[in-house]
Amino acid sequence: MNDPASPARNRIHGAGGAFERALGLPFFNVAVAIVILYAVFTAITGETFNTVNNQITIMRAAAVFLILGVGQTFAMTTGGIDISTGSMIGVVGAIVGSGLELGWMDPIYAIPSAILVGAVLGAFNGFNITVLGVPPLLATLGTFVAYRGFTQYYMGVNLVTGLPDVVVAVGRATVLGLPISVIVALAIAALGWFVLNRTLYGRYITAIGSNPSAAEATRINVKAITASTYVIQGALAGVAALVLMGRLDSASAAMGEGVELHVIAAVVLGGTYLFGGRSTMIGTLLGVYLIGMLENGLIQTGAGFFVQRIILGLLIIAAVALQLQQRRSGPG
Amino acid sequence: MVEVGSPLLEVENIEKRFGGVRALRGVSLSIAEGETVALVGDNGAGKSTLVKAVAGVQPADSGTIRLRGREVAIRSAKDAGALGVEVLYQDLALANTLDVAANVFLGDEPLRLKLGWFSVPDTRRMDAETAATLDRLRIDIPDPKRPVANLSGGQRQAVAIGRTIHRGRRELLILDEPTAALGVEEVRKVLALIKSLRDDGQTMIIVSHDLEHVFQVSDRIAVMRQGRVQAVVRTGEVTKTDIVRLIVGDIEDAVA
Repeated sequence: MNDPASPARNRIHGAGGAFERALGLPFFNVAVAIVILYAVFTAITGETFNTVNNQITIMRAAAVFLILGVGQTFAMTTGGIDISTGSMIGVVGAIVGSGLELGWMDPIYAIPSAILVGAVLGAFNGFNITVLGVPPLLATLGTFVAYRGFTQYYMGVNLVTGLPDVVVAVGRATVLGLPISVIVALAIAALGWFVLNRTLYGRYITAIGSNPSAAEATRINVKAITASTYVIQGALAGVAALVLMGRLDSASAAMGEGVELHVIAAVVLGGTYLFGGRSTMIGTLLGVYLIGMLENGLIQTGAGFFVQRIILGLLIIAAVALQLQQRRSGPG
Repeated sequence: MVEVGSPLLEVENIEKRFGGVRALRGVSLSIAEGETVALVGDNGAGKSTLVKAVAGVQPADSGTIRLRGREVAIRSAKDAGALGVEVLYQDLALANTLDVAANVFLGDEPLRLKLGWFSVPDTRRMDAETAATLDRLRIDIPDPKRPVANLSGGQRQAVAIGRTIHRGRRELLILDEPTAALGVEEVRKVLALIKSLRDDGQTMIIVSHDLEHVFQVSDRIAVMRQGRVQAVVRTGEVTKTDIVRLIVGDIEDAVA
């Protein structure tokens, strides 16, 4: 508190030029990483990486991660985490997919029902976390397993196919060369940015993650707001499930497996604190792109799926370690 | 000395047990409107327990609390807040990663667009009103747009007090160790702030270990010992030595 260094730090920041201000941005690291990796992959692959088509391929693959990343950013801002996103996608795919295939519902209900089923799955997480007090990591680890188990039980080895045009369009159609899924993801990210930076909701989740008892002492309904971040994450898992189903024109018991790793890695790499209280939607956007680019570049340079997993796992650890380092050396 | 009015807060026979421990053994204390009462006592004397009972954080087991002569039930912090009783805790209930204005207005923002949780706060108005409040309290914060984590302990304490004041005069403001863990200059500023609140007629209870500070800002001193109010004395009529003797139990004085 009476840190003698703090006035000096104030001075540095207060009088800082554009470069110093850029250094202070939470997503500075990820922006630098993108520039470096981009140059490296372009050099190694001899220009196949650096093409418009390939960039669209990256974005198309990353759209699902961005949609989920917005919800993950909200949950993480409160100091929480949701690792059940991939399993929620599985359940939405199973219920909505089979409902469409068996003719239980009209295709016009595909989109709203996917969002609704996702929101209900997310609400269960929110209930367990805020009402029962189960720590977010364990609450969503539980549903990570249970939701996937449900999907496998329900689907078995079956595959839902022949989905209606509206769902396929969400995954495959393009507008002016840009996939609709990418446009939807960017629109959700823009909305997420607005909510995080310009509304009471953004302020309140930040306050909750920063100091729950401070938030509790005001009129903020800490439990309801915290729970709502998991409902939003669930609803967005519904949207992500539509994109995946549409892209593959099918749904299987394995749909969405492993996406949670990409999403968490992207959000943390983007500069959002895993411990809550500080978050950046632009960082999440950049983090998602970084992960997408990394996977794409690794495939092009011949590294296989398993190598990608190794790198992804280590990246999460590195990103968190870096945050801990910054947290010790600086305020906030 | 500040002119003192009719009783604002009266607690009578407050009892609080934690298992077999009688933390409060029939505490009675009366605080007049506009008065600043310091609550002193050794560790475990019951200061915090009494404050938590009045603040509703840990409601009392028995006894009565009257506010302006009317008996009130304080069963939760929300009850206390609704009655205008506010506690500023030692750990400074600030959201560290938000800026000064966001903290001052947290949960009570003026809105530019009303949409429930997704309302858009009027940040320009918040900044202007915050600057005015800080000015009025003579609190100097060079860059209020930065997260409060970057502020010094004294500035943070000032922001916490400023936040409370900004939301309108409280019936009763309880300051829990307001000068603990602060530097010399910061202590001076926080004490000046407390004095200006007192001059404005704010009724306050100040819990403190530091008798020097207690003597600077209080009208009366209530000494607690072993779960009871041992003595209540006028600050101007005693010496620090008297208070120390009351705290350690050398004098078995009656309530003055």
